[in-house]
Amino acid sequence: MQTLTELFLAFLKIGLFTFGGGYVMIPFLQAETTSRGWLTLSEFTDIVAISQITPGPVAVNIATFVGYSQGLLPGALLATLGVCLPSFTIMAVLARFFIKFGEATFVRRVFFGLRPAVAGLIISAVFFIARLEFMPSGPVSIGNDGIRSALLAAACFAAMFKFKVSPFVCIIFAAAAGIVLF
Amino acid sequence: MIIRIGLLFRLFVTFLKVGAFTVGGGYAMLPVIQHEVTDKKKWVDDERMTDYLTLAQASPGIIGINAATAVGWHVAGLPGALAAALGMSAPSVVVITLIAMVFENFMQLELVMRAFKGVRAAVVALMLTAVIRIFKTSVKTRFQLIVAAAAALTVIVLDVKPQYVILAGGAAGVAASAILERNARSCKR
Repeated sequence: MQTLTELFLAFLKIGLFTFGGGYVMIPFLQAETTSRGWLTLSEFTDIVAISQITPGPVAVNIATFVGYSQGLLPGALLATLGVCLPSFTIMAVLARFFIKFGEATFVRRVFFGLRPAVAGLIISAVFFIARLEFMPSGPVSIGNDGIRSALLAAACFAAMFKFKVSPFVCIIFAAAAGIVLF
Repeated sequence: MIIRIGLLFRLFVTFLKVGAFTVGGGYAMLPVIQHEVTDKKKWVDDERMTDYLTLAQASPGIIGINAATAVGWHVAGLPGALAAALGMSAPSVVVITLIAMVFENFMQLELVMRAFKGVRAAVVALMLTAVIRIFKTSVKTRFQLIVAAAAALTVIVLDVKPQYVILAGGAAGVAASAILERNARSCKR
């Protein structure tokens, strides 16, 4: 019972204090799980790898995994609940507020600067992920796999942007292409 | 009441799809959410969606859950938010629990590894389409272009944390709008 509470609270803390999405959460998750002796560093790294290639938000995947490892299904559910609860509560309040005051002058003024700032954040995220996928062994050596990744990404982009292919179709196609290409 | 449950169910299923088919984190989910919610279901228009996606990223926690909650609330209040958030997280819990049960074996599947390497390439493309679409509604003035560029550069080059970029962006927005409005007023005189 104590582990379950600990799981819930640990993930609640992470969900509450991290800004910027799943990948930003990873160092905090690492600190929490390894310092409590829940996972070794190598186990954590494996879990992160699997969480990144499985469907759903990365942080939710990691929470479910760690939760299961410590407390089976109840642990998985509580850890997931913990990490999602801050998001849900805060956004529910903000959404409600927004529907009422979304067009208020002050709010529009904040968003006038906030919107492009967030667009810039996404650009930085694209940059980091692109670099990781296309140049995994460092900026100098691109390597065969990296080039194939980049070409596949370009093909997907063209398909979605120019030919209006749906994201779902694109992902399935990319998975099949991955088996062939790599 | 029956109509309402139908709507909640559709919300749940829509975000179930988003959660089930997106790999690679919150940013990759954005174009999928845009596609499903704005294009197909027409629940939220592009401008308001940009606001929700902006809020989703500016708030703490999980971007995907944030976005689901906001859209769900917009469509059907608290029950809607719950339906959307549950839909988004359900695939994760189910798939991961299954994998956790057979952990060692999953890592050996080379085919799976290769397939997902392909998916990660698609994710880069996905995020790019999201950026372009968000750019259309987020960057309409020269000032905003500068803010976007500054935000991207400070994170990439200077490793500034996202929450500071967010704070700076919001503050800059308030300051800039106030200045622009004052200039507009003084021109009229």
